[in-house]
Amino acid sequence: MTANFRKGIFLALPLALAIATYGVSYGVLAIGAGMSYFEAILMSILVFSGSVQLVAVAMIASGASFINLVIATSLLNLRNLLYGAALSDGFHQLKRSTRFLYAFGINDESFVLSTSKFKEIGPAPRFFLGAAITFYVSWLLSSIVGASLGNVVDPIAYGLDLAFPVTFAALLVQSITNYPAFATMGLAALLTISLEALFPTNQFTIIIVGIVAPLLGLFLSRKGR
Amino acid sequence: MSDTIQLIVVLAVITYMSRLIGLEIMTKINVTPAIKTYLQYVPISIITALVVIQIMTPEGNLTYFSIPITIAAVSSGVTMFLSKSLALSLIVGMICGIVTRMVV
Repeated sequence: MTANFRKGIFLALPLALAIATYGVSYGVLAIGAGMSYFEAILMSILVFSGSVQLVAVAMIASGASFINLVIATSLLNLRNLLYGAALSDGFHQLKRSTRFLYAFGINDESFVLSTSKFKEIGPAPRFFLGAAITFYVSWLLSSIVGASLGNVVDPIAYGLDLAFPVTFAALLVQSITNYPAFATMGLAALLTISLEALFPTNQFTIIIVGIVAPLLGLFLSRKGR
Repeated sequence: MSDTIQLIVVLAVITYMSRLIGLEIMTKINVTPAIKTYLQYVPISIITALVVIQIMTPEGNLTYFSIPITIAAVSSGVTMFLSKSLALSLIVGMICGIVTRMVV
């Protein structure tokens, strides 16, 4: 174990705790959405993305079609392109096959933690690896805890239809860090209400809102610069 | 393979490919600051749409707001804003929602 690998694990621990709370929520919601225990955990093993998995179970619960799920999660994943591009400088000393393995560990948290560390000490892929493994273990264990919890409690008795909006409202507030973000949320809400009022239970609201509303955030942050 | 497992595999491939393409190809492409900024606001938009859809309950041709779900979501959001604690926000949101449902 190199020093950077250990440092990665150590510095990732506080964030790993935060990830674990999302993992537990994901597990409970996945079971509530009708997934089996095995499916819920398999998704965490293979996908390893909080935002994709939480959005996917919410959409599964609302009966969204396969193709809409794929489009919505692809939109969410677009930001991974930027994370990978920013991290690649720190990874270019690695062998190609190793890089392919490291790619799996790219997410919001490992990106933020590693790029700030790379600025400080230069390229340190082992640091990234330590952090990514810590996040993965935390995500898997907490998903298992959540799915087990979801299997025990009776979803309807405990108001599981409340659990989705409650979780997403908290997630949303956490990501509102500036005025353009706040305005984007406002426009997204307005668009969603209009689309749902005009075309109830249509399949395209999330995708249309996901494409159109960020334009306001872009416009306002450029104007404010 | 069940439908759900197929879906999981497809989502896993899409997610992994987005990571790998970023790492291997995006460095060779010039990403403008505008695209970077735009993508920052995509998750906020999608999550907002999800919350609003969950609050709105369609009935026949009409759609109305569910009061217990609105109160649950708002109280969770306010708690998150004040405390920055996800666990606390979930507990407060659930309790407010369940209590409202019993009262309304």
